Amino acid sequence: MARILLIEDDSNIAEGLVVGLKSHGMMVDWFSDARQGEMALQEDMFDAVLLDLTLPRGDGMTVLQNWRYKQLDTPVLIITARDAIANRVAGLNAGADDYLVKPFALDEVVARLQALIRRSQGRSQPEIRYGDVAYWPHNHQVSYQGQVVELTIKEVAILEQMLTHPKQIHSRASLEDKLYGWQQDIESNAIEVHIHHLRKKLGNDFILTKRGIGYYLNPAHNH
Amino acid sequence: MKSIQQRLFISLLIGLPLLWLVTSSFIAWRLWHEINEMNDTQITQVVRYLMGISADDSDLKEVDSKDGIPKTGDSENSDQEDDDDDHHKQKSEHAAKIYNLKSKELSGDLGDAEDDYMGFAIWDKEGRLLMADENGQSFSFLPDQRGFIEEYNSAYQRLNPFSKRWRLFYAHDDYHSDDMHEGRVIAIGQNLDSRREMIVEAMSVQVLPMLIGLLSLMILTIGLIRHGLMPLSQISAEVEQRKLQDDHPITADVPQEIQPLVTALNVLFVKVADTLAREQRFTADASHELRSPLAALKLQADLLQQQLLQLSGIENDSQLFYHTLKISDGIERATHLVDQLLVLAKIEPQQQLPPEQLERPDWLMLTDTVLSDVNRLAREKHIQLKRTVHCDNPADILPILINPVLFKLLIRNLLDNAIRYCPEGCQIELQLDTDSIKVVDNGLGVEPEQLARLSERFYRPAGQTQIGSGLGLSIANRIADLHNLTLAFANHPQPETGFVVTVRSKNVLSKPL
Repeated sequence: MARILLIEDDSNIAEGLVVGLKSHGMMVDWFSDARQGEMALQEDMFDAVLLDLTLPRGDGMTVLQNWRYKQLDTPVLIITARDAIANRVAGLNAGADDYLVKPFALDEVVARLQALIRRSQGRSQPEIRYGDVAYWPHNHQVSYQGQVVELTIKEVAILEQMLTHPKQIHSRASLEDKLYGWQQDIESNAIEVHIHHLRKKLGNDFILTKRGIGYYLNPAHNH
Repeated sequence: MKSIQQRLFISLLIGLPLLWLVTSSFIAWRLWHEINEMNDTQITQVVRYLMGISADDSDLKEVDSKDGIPKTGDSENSDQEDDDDDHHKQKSEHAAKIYNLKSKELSGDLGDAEDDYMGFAIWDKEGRLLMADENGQSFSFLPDQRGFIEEYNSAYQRLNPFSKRWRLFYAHDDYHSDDMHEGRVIAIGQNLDSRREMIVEAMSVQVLPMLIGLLSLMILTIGLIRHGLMPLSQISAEVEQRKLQDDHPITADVPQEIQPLVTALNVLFVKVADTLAREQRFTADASHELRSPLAALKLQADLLQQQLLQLSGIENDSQLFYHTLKISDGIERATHLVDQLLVLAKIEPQQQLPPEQLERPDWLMLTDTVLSDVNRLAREKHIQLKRTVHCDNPADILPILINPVLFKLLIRNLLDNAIRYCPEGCQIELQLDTDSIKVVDNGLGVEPEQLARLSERFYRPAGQTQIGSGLGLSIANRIADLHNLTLAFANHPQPETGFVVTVRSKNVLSKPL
């Protein structure tokens, strides 16, 4: 289980992140103060750091510089309200590994943190498992109950989108956006057809429908 | 108010000639008076001489005698005079003595003497011409006239058609008792043109130098003024080119009279730049401060949605989802507004784009990115996006230098707007042309009275159901402005309905759609 150090002074954001990251299988240690946060990384082992730039008792950027000066190379994801390109560049120059501007989606934080941790541990992206379904992103292979399943390109794209954002409802428009560029004509029921085929191949209740809203992975399968 | 230079020039141009005219008229008037006085005095003098001389002239009885006139004392007669004499002898029984005074050459220093314009005639009391010179012989005999009279001398006119008017002085020789001289009439005449000539000559002597003086004075004055005002035009040029944020003082070397203005301007520059910087900082700070609470809200909404998914199966869960989605929508809208405000705060004070950010775009690639960005929004409303290129070579599309980041935002905002305000199932076309970029939709169009207000900040036509900040077109407008382009909004003419936004160069007059 990945351990995350969160340094953020806004308690609403911090609490949200703590709960949200936990639900995605991460453990979070939260400090609201620059000094304490800086000390925490020196004393304990973390897989990644979520660092806010504007902090009481010190600037996030200075904290980051101090760590890098002390050869602490834990991956750092900066979260900030300032989005000027100059700030972004300064953050990355100071040794940050990635940069997220507030407000951000929970999924986005999770995805970026996972990518940072994988990269720092020298691992390539492993297969994604959800219930009986496994997916290998590097070669777009899909298996169901241990058997390789043949999927069309569009079906793989839909499945990938849903597996990488497992706790979300995917509207038809958002799936269409991933599947078709703006040039392609709008086929009124193409997504329904693909979902229908996916259900036939991966089990009828693997993908659920929330009427009028969209599709989501059945939470009951993810155990 | 007219320019100082112009006013000075006009007043000099009118005033100086007027002044000159008045003084010249006065001089001419005085001169005319003096010349008249002098000449009239001379004439009366000559009359007196003639009277005196002719009184002693006993030869007058002998009309055939060829003596010269006593006035000149020259008795030499030319052949021409003989002819004249013969001529006149035929005319009157009393042969008058006619002197051709012009033919009498005088020797010695003649001073500044001009040809004689004078004439004289002497009649006896019956009106018989006794004696005259060639001018005088045509004077008319006026027995009752005494003193000055002006008349037209027809004879003289024959010789010189341009000089008609003569001033004549008639005198009656009443003081001699003998029959011979009793009642003689003497007339001395002077061609008035001579006087006129005198005055013209006298005036012309002073007119020319005066005109030259006048002109040089005007040129000098205007030159001085122009030179004096030069710093002023330099300052205006400098102020015109200034950026709003620039608080450097004007350091130009200006005349003392303008210095207070420059000092005041310099103070103003600092104030303006300061206010502007504060406004910009405020907008930026406020927007940033808004982001943290928005981030917290968004996280909580995401969490709520996740929890709801876990609980799937409970009653009315679609209803619950609907509400969480609405919360997310609201957060998205607020985030969008904050973003727009930040962009506006950044681009509003800019006078021009930094040249190092400008480049020639690959329009197809650029519009591809933008169209992909709005693809999801379009798909949600089943709106078909299209792009058409209206020239043979894509390299010919609107050949201008742009800031790609800002220009993407411009096109994105236009497309975004079209998508938001078109009914479902419409078609939106991005038309790329050599001189313009158009976003054309086949939606409902806009009420004519709202057209003009579209790019106002925060203006949203009443009764909008779409999320939006009302800043999109305002930002698009500002970006277009920074690229020296204009944004024109228009409804599609009937029979088709729809709305057209045209982005084109400011220099080209917008043509009807």
